[in-house]
Amino acid sequence: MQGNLRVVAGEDVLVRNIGDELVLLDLQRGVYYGLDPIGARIWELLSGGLSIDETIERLLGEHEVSRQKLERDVRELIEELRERELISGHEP
Amino acid sequence: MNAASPSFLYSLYGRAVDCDIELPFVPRASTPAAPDIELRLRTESVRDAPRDLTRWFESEATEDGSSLAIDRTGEGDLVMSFTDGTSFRVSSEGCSVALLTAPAQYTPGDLAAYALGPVLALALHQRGATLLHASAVVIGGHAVLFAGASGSGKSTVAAILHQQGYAVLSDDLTEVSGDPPAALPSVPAIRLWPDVVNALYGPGAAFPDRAPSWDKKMVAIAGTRMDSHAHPIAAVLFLERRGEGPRLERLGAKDSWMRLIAHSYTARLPDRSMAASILNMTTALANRVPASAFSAPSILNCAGLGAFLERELAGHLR
Repeated sequence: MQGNLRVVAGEDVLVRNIGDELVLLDLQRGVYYGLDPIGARIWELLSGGLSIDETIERLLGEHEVSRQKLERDVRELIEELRERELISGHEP
Repeated sequence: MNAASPSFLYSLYGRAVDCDIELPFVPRASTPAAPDIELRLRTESVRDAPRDLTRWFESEATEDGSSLAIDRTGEGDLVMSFTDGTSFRVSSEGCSVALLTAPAQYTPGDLAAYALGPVLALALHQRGATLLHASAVVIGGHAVLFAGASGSGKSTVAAILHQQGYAVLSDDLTEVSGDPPAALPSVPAIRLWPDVVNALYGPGAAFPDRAPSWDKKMVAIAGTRMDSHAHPIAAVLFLERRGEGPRLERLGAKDSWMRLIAHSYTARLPDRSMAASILNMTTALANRVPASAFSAPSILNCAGLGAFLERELAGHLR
């Protein structure tokens, strides 16, 4: 997965904040997904137009965490969201 | 409508409902209004079963083995069928409900018990309304919702509080609208099991308005608000661990939302057009209205329930 990739929510996905978490509804399948506060922040940055690399840089400034762990967590989340067709990626 | 058909106007779920039979336990609307929904329950209106049905939804069976199925007709109407052979057609726009089939021995009260509950609620769904499986009681000028599955005690709690002087908006299905969310009144009656009726009102209590063929009795509730006035929702209490309370345990927004989706009347219907509305309703409630898991008291220990709730929810009732 390219670091300069940008992602957008799928057309059939509804997103709502609940407290500091996020709920995603896949309209096609009628399935709800939840993102914890960290996942919700990653979603917020990505859906705000940041690339994967830019998102990781921003989060490194917000949390005391190793770059290696953060990169792994962000990419794992994005991969899972893509597998479930909740997001799609495009080159800048 | 046939000019010779009788017509009785009711205010139900905040809508003017025109019915072709006199409903035995519901007061008539006090002011005339153009009907929003036509409800046809006369046997004369029973038509042949609609054709070209495709199965749209089938519920899981409840404890007593009953379930319901919804089919879609070729014209887009919905047919709601119950395991006892009763079925209703709900028009695609939700502006008419008609009895299709029913066991011969069923009384108008029996039919009304079906029609005014899940069937009218389906019509409201078709009209874009969002409903929760919850009773609603007015405490301190605000609605307090008691959400739970069948058998969790929604109606019993409403009846207990009604006896203690609180107005009841709904005993089973509550329409929720707006942000901040508000509750609308549904049907001015509470459905209760006979043992609950006996415990609350005494073995000698007479309820001539009840539906005689059903085990669960409908008790008309005098003094219930009959207008379409919506009450802001001050709290959602999820009925859990019956008989151990009264006790409240505050829930976070996410826990509240997961329960709200589970108790949303039509969230399980494969209806994409309403998914956003249901999501909006549940997230508005979860984010803006405090929620708690509620252990209700037993009927024998319920004397102070209203005072308990007023005290515990005082901060939210302003």
